[in-house]
Amino acid sequence: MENIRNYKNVLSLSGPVEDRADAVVIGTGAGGAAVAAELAEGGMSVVLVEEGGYFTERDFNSNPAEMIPKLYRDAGTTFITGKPTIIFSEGRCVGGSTVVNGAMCWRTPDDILQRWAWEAGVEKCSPEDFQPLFEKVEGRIHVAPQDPESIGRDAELFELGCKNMGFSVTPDRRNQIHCSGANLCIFGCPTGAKQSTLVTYIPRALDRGARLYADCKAEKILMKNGRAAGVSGRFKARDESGKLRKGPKLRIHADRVIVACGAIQSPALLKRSGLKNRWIGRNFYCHPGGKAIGLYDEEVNSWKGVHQAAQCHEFIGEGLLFAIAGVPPAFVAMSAPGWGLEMAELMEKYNHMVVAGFLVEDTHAGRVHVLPGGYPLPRYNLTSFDVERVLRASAITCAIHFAAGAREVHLPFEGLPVIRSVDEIPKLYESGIKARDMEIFTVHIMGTCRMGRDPKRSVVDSWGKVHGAENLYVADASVFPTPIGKNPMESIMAVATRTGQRILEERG
Amino acid sequence: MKNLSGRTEGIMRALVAILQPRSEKLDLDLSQEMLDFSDEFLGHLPAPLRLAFPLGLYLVEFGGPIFGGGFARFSKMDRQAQERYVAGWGASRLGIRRELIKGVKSIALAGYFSNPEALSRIGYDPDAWVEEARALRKKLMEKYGA
Repeated sequence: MENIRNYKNVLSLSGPVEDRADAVVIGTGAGGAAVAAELAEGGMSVVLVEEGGYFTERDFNSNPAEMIPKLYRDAGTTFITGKPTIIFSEGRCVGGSTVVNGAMCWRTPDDILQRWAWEAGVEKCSPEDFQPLFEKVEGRIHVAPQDPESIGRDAELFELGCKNMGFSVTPDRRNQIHCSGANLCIFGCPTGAKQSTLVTYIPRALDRGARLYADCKAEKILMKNGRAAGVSGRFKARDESGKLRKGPKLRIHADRVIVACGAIQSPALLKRSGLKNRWIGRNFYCHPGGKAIGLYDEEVNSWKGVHQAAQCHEFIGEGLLFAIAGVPPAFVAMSAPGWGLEMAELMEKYNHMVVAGFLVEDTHAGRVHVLPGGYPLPRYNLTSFDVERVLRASAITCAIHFAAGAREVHLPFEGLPVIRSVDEIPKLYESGIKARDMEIFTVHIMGTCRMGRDPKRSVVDSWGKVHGAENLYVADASVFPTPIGKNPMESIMAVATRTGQRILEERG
Repeated sequence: MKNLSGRTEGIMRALVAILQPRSEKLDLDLSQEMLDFSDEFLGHLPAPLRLAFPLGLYLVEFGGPIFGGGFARFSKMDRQAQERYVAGWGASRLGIRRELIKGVKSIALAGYFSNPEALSRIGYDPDAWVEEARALRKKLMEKYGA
């Protein structure tokens, strides 16, 4: 497309690339794309800057060796330091994590909106205030239930297990148009069904004149006397031999700068740019999660059918959420315990696996430190309370598996890798598992530029405007004052839409 | 190799030999592929990890006297000694040792399970399924409206 420029098509330029717009949006994921489309549709000229590459449906395939380096930050090796180390997968491409996520869409729970209002003083934060935002987002990205033909056997077993345990199951609503369950969500949707920002908000913005610069890392926000005036960055990409090459610099002059790089990169960018608010980088939440692989006698073929059809919200009050997620063999093997013969014997049963997982709503916060040079270092420790909750969530997951007919369940714990019946569940507690023995992952990060009305307790105001800086905004999950206990994409888009609407109102 | 030096390649080769899945059904020797994949992957790591990774490999190679592997270099140990040594690293109370082995394992096994023959052996054929899924999606769009 003419209004997309990336590393390849700027290489021939001898000097820096410069552009000018009413607004520059840094990041094209759930937040950046939503706010960019809002502003472009409102008549503003918009430039989008994206660190990752521009890939479309025809680029997506099932080969991890090709897709992981293309679509994920640092080829999927990002992690959060702490006890234990938490594996964190973040999309880095045009569309961000919406290109590689499972596409689950949930409105921000009412009690979370209430917490935001009470604890952070976020204005106009009631369910009634957010309803039109959710409706707008859901229309834009085609949120809908799955067609029944797309439901795989693994989802049926999960539902059976929950039903036999007396646990309620809520069908997912996903941003998709007749998803047929190709189940390669994590490598970009090869059928065009998933409605990521790549195929929704970004084309909307581009159709209204927005320009997109991909393969370009934003290095610094240009600030003049406390006023955001643009962004500087540099094109970078890998050549055909795989070597990382630097291209020309990019400089965008803009009346407004909107940062939407995610909860690790956004605070890093703000700090690199000289912002001094002590809350930048603090309040880091990550919904720590774990998985338990059930092995069944029947052939399940979890790769045939939708990535995730439903969730169990029976224990939402305890901050625990359960679901299954079919993932390719490489992803199972990367995180399953053991190697050699043990790994071979497990992976031979790939078609008999159901990978069930859980997420735990945070009860405390970590922090994203920014090292000299601007490199972010996220840090998060599980508390002893969190360890207990991970064990409880694991116990519940095991019970669901056994209630569905699993023969054994493989756990992400050093020292207790397998249990073979409900009677063995107490071993989870008897084995003395500690935080360091747990393999924890996350795909949701939030909170590090939190919203609030008090500049002494927050980074941005109720509308995403950075306290103490003119014309500078943040529009991604880093503005959440609290964890939300559910998949955050729709919430991010709603909050970003709100920020966009406010910017348009202020502009007049 | 693009990113592994001659010496670190040798250490990785010995590690990959231990980590590689091996059973009757999965009796493929994909060690070169795993090595090539790991080498390619190394180039995508952020700078701090790219620098730390070879240092970690050297620690594995020369850490025998400290970590209960005897005085031989890891890549020169006999197979059984290598297996015991790597198991010790994987179960270590020292987080950095466990994380290093987990990290190497993750990368190497991702390489293994990117091989079409290995995937075929475990009954996984995503490309054929995607074609079926495309055809199904067409039918769903006709049935329910686009």
